[in-house]
Amino acid sequence: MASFIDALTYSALLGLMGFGLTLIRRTTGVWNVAHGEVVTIGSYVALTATSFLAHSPYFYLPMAFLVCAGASGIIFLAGVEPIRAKGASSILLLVVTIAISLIMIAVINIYADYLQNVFHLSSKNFLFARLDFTLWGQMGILWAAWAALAALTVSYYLVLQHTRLGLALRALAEQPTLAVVMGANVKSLSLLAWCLAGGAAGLAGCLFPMRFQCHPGVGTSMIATMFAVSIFGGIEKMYGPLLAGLVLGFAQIYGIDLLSSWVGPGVIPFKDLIPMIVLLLTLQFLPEGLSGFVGRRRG
Amino acid sequence: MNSVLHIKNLNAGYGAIHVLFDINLDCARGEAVAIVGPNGSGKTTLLNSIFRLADIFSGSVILDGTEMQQEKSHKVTGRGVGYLRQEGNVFPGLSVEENLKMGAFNLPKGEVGERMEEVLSLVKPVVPFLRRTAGTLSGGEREMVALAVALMCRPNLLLLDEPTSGLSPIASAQIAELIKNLKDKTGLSMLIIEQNLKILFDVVDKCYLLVSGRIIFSGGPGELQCDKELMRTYLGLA
Repeated sequence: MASFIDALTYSALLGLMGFGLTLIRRTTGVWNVAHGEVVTIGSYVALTATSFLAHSPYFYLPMAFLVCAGASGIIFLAGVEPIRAKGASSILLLVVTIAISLIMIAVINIYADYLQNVFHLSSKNFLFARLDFTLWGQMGILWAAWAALAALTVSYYLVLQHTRLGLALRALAEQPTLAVVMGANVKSLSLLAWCLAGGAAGLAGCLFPMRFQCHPGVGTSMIATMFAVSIFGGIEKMYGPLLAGLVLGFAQIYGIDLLSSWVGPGVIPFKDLIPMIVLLLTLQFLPEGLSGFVGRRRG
Repeated sequence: MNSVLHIKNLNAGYGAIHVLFDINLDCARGEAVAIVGPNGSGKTTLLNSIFRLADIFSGSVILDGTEMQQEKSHKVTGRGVGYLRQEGNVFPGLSVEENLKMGAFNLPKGEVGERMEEVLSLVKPVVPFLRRTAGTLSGGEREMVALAVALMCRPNLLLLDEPTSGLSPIASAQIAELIKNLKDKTGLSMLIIEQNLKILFDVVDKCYLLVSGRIIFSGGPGELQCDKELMRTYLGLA
């Protein structure tokens, strides 16, 4: 049962992380490797705020959303956009985000050292499980993570389908130059997408230590899995990350538990390979991802 | 006659690539102007310069008396310019109706429905496939949708980049008829790039021949047709 709950919780958090990555990919066509570090910033916002201001980490979800939205916006404005404006290819932009990611890893580690050395906080390895509440016999993180993911997916769907802003974001995803010709401010729209993506990553980062061990490299260690969620979910619909998070989260946690009970605990260290296998299979057999496949079947 | 568009000594290109050299061009209110010339002569770059999609090195682009060099690309539409691009001129994943709404992005929300009705009365062939996804339309249908979309912003000046390119003779004739009707009914100023000169000569008031980024002829369509040397050398028509 614990594995099942872990898998459910992990799935929602993966979905939140993949949501941001997919949003950036969909609207600006950039593979943002630094998205993992934005997730980590969310965790450190929670650590800092709960350590210095008390209260439950849930209380700081809006703060994590805003700080990470800002961080993601800065990555876009200072790192990606100036190079994109010069006509850089998507490969070059990927390399740019790798460079940003490495810089951010260093900054996050320096900050964690600072918290540890100056304030004697356990900033290199932390878990907030003791701060969680219980609802209907389950830890609050399970409900909170799914509520956050569902709220984001539904609200984004409503904005996308029923507002002018959403129409412009969809247009931007398809033909950026044509969107400009029609009067859309592509830079502002892209910035908005990056900020929303960062906000979603911040929510995931803030919630992650409620159930799982956190450290300065937590987002970095999960970026490949986030990419797998984004690719497996597809960019056609924004419910893609939700579906993909569910499948991959279960495959990674519940699946590996099941596998280890059959073939022995020796397989457990290799659980991170499951998303990579799914990623490779998706690229070969379902390149449009789950949401694209569902859309095609309906269409 | 006052100018809707006045281009003066324009030098433009992309980054280090210089495409247009000392271009001077005028488009008066209600006038249809053709830009003709061989492939690679810089015709599309000229339209892109008006929208700041190409880099302007020197010279000026003046729209309705306002210099546009410092204007951002997305604000040009708001100055009353509609642009039908040669490629990528509709959003294939959006419905035709959504494409039209996107075309009116610079208009106040309350005016979009009314404008859509006006445009659909001008471009009637679009009406039956309003609900269809633009990517599922044929080339001719898509071009008509693109024309309707370019009209949605209530333009004073319409830029048309090879609107019949790649279309069958029947579809080309339909598009040409639509453009002619637009000119007659709305008095819209137009800057048209078109390879299909036979269609153009019926519609336009003035022609510019662009060769290797330089204008080597300007005058009425009749004058151009009379210059057999230019017609044969640069346009492949005797």
